[in-house]
Amino acid sequence: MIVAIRRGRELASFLGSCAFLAGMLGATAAGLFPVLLRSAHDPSRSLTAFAASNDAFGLRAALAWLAIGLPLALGYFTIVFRMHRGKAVAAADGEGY
Amino acid sequence: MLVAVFSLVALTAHGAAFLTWKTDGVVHARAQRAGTLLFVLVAALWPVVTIATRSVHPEFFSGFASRPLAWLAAVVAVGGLGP
Repeated sequence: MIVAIRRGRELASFLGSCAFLAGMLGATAAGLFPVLLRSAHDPSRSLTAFAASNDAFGLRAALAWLAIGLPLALGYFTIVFRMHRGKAVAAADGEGY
Repeated sequence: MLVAVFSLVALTAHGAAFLTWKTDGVVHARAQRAGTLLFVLVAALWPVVTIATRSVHPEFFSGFASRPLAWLAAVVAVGGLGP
């Protein structure tokens, strides 16, 4: 990121930053699993993924909604990024909105 | 507190990278300067936060060796910071 942003490779710098944040979050999640919320007083009372999960019916319903919602979210972001591709240009009268 | 400061710096650097990419002119130049400084801070703070986490919660890293996804994610993070 540091080299890219100084050399003007702006997209590479932004994507590097995305990878860094995703990697940090992923490494933290993978390192902590199955603990979601660690108990500072008694580690045996920590909230785990297994203890916090729903029953089989609830998990199947969540998966079905994910199959519907994820493509919608991806489509939304695709449209937004296509609409705003390129550099942002300020209006001639100085109004930013 | 240290993790909170690190998160703030990393997310601000991410915003600066986005602004550098999407703007030009004065805003672009200011975002580029801020981003360069913030990314250096991120690179400097990351090992400090890792060592502090290791000393406070040593069990956090105990499962790393046997978890390939954790290693993969760490490699992605290092790769993202590198280029």
